[in-house]
Amino acid sequence: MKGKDRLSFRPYAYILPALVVILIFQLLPMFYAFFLSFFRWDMINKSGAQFVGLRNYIILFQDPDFWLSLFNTTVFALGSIVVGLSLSLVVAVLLSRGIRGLGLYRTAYFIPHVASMAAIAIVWKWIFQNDGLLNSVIQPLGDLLAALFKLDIGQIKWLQQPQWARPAIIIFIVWKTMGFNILIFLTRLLDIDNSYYEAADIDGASALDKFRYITWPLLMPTTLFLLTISTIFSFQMFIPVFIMFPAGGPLNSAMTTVFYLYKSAFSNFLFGYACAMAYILFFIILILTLIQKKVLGKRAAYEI
Amino acid sequence: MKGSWLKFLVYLLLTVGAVTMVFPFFWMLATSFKSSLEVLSAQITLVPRLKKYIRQDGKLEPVEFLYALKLIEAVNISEGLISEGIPKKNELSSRFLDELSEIYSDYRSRIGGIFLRYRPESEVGQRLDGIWENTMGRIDRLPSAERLPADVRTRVDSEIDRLSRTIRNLGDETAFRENLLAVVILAGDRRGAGLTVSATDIIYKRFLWSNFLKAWRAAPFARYFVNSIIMSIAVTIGQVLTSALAAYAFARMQFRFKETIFLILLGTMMVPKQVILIPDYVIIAKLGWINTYYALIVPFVAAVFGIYFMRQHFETIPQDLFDAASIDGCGRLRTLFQIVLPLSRGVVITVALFTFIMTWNSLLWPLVMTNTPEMRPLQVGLAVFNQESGTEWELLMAASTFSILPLLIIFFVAQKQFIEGITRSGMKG
Repeated sequence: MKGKDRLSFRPYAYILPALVVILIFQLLPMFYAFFLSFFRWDMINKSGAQFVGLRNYIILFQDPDFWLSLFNTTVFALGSIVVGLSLSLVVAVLLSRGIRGLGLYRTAYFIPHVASMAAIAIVWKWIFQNDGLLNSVIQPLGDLLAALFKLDIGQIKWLQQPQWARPAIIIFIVWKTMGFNILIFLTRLLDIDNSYYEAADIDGASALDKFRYITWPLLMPTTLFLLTISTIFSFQMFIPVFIMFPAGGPLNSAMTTVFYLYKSAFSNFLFGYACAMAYILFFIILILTLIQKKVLGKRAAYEI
Repeated sequence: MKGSWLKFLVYLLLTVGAVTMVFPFFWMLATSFKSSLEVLSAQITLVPRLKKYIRQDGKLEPVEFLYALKLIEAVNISEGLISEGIPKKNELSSRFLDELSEIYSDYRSRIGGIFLRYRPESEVGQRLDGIWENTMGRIDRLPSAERLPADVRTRVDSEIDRLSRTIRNLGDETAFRENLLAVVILAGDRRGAGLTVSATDIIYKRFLWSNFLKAWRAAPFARYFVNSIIMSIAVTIGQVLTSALAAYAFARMQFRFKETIFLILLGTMMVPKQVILIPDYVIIAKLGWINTYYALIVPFVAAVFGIYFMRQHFETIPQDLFDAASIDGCGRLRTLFQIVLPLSRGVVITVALFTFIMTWNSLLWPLVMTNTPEMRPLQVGLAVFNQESGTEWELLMAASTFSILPLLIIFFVAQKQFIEGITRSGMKG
């Protein structure tokens, strides 16, 4: 049986359909993008692409908008990861303690993950309006701040003020992705053998100790996984910005790198330039993922 | 005692969190049922307010609209006022201005697209009490209306008179004329001007189901839906088929370069979609596929994720089954479809579910690859609708609702599969 396969073309016929599609639309374009990044090309010009060497990359590194987009992307990534993952961990830990109605809670937290990004971003755009839901909810808080500390922030214009546009995106991302993080954390938490905790109880460990010395180390691989996923997600973010800030936000304060890439290619027709940007982005994601794997992966292996 | 307090706190925190997660959906739904007047008023109403309608010629019309029609004439009559005296001080009470800020016609298209919002002083600076912001429309295009009863006109005139003196300070005649209408509508509304209807013709409604119909008709949503369904189903079927075939070969057959090919495939998973977007656009343009279903479907009928996921499962099926099948004269392909796939139902459904949802939700790709409404899938259509319809939030929320609904239904039907799939693929990742 196995011998027959080794000689025949049958296995190749089985993988062929998938291979052809992946080759043409994923593998080949990967190299093609690299190739294109050395050209100036608007796709309209019939004379074709013009070889410019490293020019695209040089211009890119001098382009303040590109740096701004990288800065914004980093802020979104850091903000949503720090706030999102820690909040998710807290909720997951609370949920893992034999809560009644676990299924109901889990569903409630998970629903945002299911909703289409575009549609739900429109809903949040509505919530973020100047006299929208969020502002009227936090109004009492603002009044309290004003009364206690004489600190009058005034009306927050989430979608119009550069200092608030970034928090708006982070709030939305945290809300949207928390359900997924919670689910993954929770599954791992429920898997942890109860005998660890029983042993710790015998030793008289406090709840905090148990978290510090049992839960946290055992969760490390999961945390690492979520960290990687969240980083990749943040660095690829496009839809929320496109919906809530179609022009990139006030003073481009919400413009992510992917958004800038999209604008460069499909509004300004700088295809080579956009390809160079895509490659830089690719390498940033790759390096971040590798660093996370190396640093945290080692610690995870060590602590278990 | 301490323990029960702690427990209470845990439940409280979890519930507050859960409500926060679900509330935007509730808010979306609540907004979908409101009138545009209610949506634009500064007051937040969790449950849509009762709205007053009047039956006229067999049709239900919001009260504000009828008053607008009936009072438009008054604007023309009062135009003479514009040239009169310059105001000495602001004579409008803040309460009156608040009421004014709520004015907005439900049928803006039918009365010429007037859209007035009052902005409080704080936003405008030192300009008297504020300004009315006009975002679209002009008075000239208004349809003519019946003449007003004399007593009503007197009242309206005096109201206009008072307002005119304030508005003149803005120094903009167009603004003046448009603001007049707001006053006129208000005057009519508050005083029951000029409308004599019997009590049976007055109807109160809380939920405006008609918003969904309006939204559905405001853009070719039916077409968007059809496109999304075609795209998602075709991609799902294609991906499951090609993945199953390839995974079967990788899991159950020996061939040269097997692991090398598989590793290369896994490597492509590392590449962000955005990197290949532009070269793919070029390739698809060269193939002449821009703005066709091919562009939306073909590049996605195979994915490494599906192959990887299915291979893992196919490898766990005991060899005995395959031996038995081959002794029975069951060919390779038949074994796949009649033995392997039925045994892997869970995995197949998971892959199909994820593929479907991912395709349904994709935006950037179809945005780039299509350029006419006929080819747009739902997400792109919705994004365009979002940019075109500005502040018609009740319609935007209605459209969001029916865009989100299919996935929510799938989620609730296949919740178990869904959550299992995520945790399984997640833990392995």
